[in-house]
Amino acid sequence: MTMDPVAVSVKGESVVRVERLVKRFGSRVVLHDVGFEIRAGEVLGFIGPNGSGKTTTIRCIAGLMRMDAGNVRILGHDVHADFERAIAQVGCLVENPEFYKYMTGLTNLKLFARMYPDVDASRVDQVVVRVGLENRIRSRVKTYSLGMRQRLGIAQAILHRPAVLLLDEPANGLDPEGIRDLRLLLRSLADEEGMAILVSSHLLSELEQLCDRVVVLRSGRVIGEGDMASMLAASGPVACEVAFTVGSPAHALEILGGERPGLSRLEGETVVVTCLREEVPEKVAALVGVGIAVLSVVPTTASLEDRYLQMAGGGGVE
Amino acid sequence: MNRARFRFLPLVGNEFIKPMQRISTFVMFGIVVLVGFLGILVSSLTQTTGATDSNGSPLTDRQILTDRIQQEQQAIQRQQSNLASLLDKGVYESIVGNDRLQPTLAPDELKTAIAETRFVISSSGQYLSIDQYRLDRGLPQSEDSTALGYAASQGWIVQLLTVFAVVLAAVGVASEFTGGTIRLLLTRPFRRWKILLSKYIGVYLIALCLLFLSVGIALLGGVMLRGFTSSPYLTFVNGAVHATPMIWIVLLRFALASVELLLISTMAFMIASVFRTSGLSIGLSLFLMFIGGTVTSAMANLGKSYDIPILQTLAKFSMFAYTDLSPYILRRDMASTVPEGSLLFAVTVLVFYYFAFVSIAFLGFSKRDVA
Repeated sequence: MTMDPVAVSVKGESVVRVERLVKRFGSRVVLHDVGFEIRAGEVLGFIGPNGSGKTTTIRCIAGLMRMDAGNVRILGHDVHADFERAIAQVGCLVENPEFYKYMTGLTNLKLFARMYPDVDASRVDQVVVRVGLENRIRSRVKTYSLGMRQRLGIAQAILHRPAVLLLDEPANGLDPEGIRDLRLLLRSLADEEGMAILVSSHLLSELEQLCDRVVVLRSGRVIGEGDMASMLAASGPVACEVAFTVGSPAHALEILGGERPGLSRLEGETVVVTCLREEVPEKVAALVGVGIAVLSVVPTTASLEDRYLQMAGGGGVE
Repeated sequence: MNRARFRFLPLVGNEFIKPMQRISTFVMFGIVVLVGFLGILVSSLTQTTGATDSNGSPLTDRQILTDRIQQEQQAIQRQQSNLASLLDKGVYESIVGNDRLQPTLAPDELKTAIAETRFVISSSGQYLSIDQYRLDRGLPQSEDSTALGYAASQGWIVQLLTVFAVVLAAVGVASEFTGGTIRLLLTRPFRRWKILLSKYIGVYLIALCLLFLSVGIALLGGVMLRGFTSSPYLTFVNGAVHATPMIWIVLLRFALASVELLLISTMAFMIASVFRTSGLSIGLSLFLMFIGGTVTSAMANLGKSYDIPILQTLAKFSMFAYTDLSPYILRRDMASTVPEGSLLFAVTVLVFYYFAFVSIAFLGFSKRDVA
């Protein structure tokens, strides 16, 4: 039994093409002319704050929602006009990974396997090992942690060797080890099997090490798109918040420029200052120079909103 | 590029497996077995020995039949003399059999009285023919006292199955939405109508299992209670006694009761597909199932008594007026009450409702966004 042979896509070839997607909920427009593509062999980061339309976009690509305008093509098949052939090439995990909780993980996977002509028992076993669930696959899903359900969610999505993998916030509920496993798995699916992978997240930091490219969504509009590396570089100096834990906080605040709303403030024993990363050493030096004991210096990441904006303006657009 | 073929049958298989793994389905099968055997137990405890002769031993079928035939012959004779006096003098002796003479009747009343008396003579004659047939062939005095007669009397169990089918249909559809698994189901290479159709078929595969189980228990109960006794089902058709194998009557009774099951559970299926919650679907369907018939006949009666055409029309086109088709089909003789309207009309109304339910279910399921 063979399926439509997945024209094992040439790396870099466009697999999913989203064009001028418009979606309204009543009179509210939640997606404005969203357009981008997912290419074979790449992991595309889909970034945006909560409510920016990431999940809605993914639902439209997966055919769960109708779009009001625009179209989605998967290997040339329109997702509405030619739903069955288009969706046969898609594996997806939209929102929380929900399963039939009264069945075992394996029974769940077998249900989905039965829906594809070329997925047999050995493929199911192979996928189970691949997501690292072999020890618990015969337990009922109701006993699974969120992390385990995420793994099972990935398993059902890759069961039929789709050309495209759509993952909505897959890192939710994963522990650091789980996140590392996920990263390795997705990398190998992209690099070795040439899958086109879309991973959404509201945390840029989650995606930095995983993605080849990113698309940034904000209020239903694509505000930036480009290479991960060049985008990070193009975003230029990034302001971040640094928390200085010091011996005499009040004095330190004075040395660092006094209380300035939005820039520096006192938080108990720590002074929190917003500055460029490059300025941190000189600030430490200033404090040490007047004899203040610096107990710790903890940079927190820049606010996401700022980085999105910088990316949008920073020329990271094709 | 050759077209990918995604087979539909495994999809139906899935929709059979999913409910079968739920504990609630297991409980349904348990209840059907329990209720079936409870019915047998109650019947065995309440089974009467019947009439006895002067020595205290039970009457044989032959004795009972001979007695009954004698009574029927007497009744017919009485009614014939009654008819003669009606035709002759216009005097009416009550058909109930007391000897009080009625005053001379008005012409139209006389007409009715003559027609009624003729009807009674004719139907008594039919019973007489049937009993004579039994006596001649050494058959039991009634098919109800046979093993298959017991099985046929258990058709009411289908009402219980209707409740279960409603739950299966409602939960089968709505739980996919409430559990969030609908997203895993709809992102497969099957158009939505195929997904829903597989669910629909899955529900009835399980309902069919439950139905076979209850028929099986009813047959077993018949044999346990009455041994391997049997008698054809006798009717009087076109001037002759007509024998139908009793097993057909057993199956027909269950099949006729399943008409209501099909319609009510399809309605539950529709409500669940449109509103995506099982509670509303189960509640509304069962509520209508239990009050629908009563409300319909109340509307019909009110409409007739107070001459309100709208009520009469509503009752005429109400599904619940026709969910029990047995009066149209299981007519033993012309004395049985036959509802107004023809079988064809009844079936047409039912088919209309059925297709309305199915269309709304599929439209509601296919057209809307899934969150």
